[in-house]
Amino acid sequence: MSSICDQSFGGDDRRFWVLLSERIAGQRVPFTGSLALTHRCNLGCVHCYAREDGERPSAELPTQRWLEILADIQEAGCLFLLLTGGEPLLRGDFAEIYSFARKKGFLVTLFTNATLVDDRLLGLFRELPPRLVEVSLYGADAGMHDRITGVPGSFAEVLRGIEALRAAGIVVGLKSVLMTENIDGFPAIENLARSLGLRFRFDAAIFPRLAGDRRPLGLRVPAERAVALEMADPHRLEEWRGFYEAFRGSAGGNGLYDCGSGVNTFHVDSQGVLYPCLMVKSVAHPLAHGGFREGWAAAFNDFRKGQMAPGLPCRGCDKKLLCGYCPGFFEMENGADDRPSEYLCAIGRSRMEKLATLHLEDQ
Amino acid sequence: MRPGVIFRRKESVADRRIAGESFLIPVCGAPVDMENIFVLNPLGDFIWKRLDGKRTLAAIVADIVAEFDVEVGQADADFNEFVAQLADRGLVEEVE
Repeated sequence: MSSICDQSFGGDDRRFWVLLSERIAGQRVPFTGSLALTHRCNLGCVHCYAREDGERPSAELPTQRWLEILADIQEAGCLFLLLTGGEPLLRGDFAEIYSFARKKGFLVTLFTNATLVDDRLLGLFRELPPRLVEVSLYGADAGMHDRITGVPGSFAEVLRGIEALRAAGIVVGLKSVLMTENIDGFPAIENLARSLGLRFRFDAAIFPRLAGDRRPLGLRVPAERAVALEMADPHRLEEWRGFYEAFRGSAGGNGLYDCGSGVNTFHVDSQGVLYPCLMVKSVAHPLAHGGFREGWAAAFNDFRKGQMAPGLPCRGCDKKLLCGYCPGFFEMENGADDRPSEYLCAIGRSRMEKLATLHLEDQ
Repeated sequence: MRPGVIFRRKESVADRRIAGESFLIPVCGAPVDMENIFVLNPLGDFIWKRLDGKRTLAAIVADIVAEFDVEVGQADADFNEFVAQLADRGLVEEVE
């Protein structure tokens, strides 16, 4: 008989994902989910798609409903759980929801701005550690960060929160959004993350607000500059090169969706509406009208069957592996999942050019 | 291990069944990373469910023999190896 306890994974996330993928291959299991516990936030970031300017915050699910949803998604097979917002720590019942989730055996990641980290939260995390707390940081100094968040003093509060989390032994990562407001200081943000010994990732994706305001798009950094900055890091460059070499020529079929959206992922917003992922909003199932299983089983059946229209430029595009192809992105930017984003096209072209240049240099 | 020894699962670990696979997920204590997550094969899962603080080693080994068609010596060795791993990771405790 072989080993009974197949393995632990030696801290290797990738091995775990490979094993999980192999074992659930072909099965539609919602093992990755995100819950936006609130859309409220104590910051007012210029680029935020979820910001609700001047409007009454929308109604949020009460504690008990979140606990019921957690029980439902646990039973359905969710393992990796993201708690996000808005700022989830604004909820007075965050500790109750979080404790329930951890005790149910979810591997929890928290997205937060870290300004509300306090002793109570640290005590909770010491007892029931999250897998990762990922903190948003938009500048390497108060001037830049606070200008983007719109809240004076928020930079100092973020650093205080990060330090408190680290001191408590919590695994912390930093994430940022590259935008016109911070591109000049972006290397300093990366240096700050490095000096703190924290993993760092960023994205240049900026979307219109959910309420329709398209002004945030004006904050996008031109794709060429975004890619140049991304590829300036040798580690990221090697990752892209390795990824492209490994998967080139296998850009998938003609299905409009070729990701895990609605297959292995889902998202629930603060009002309890179930979506196939964080990005796709056109396919929705209010959980008030039934349980998670019903929504998962019925509501997401059709949208995955959609095919790329013959005229869609993404069809057969050799840059599809590099652009970040995502019909959800198209929908958030252009209101329809089959209306491609020019910005993503430009990102794909720039990455391809960079990799082609490297290829020539290698030769 | 003595035939009469009894183990129980700690409350600090959650067992999850996902798509027919059994995972042991730590809830308390050390930071959650993949180092501390186990995937059980059917025999591991079979034993894990019986570590209830009531059944003795001998009783569980007898169950294994009945269910998996193996010799007592092999079942005993498998049980000992598995429970030792769990104990090392702090996932089970011996009942006094």
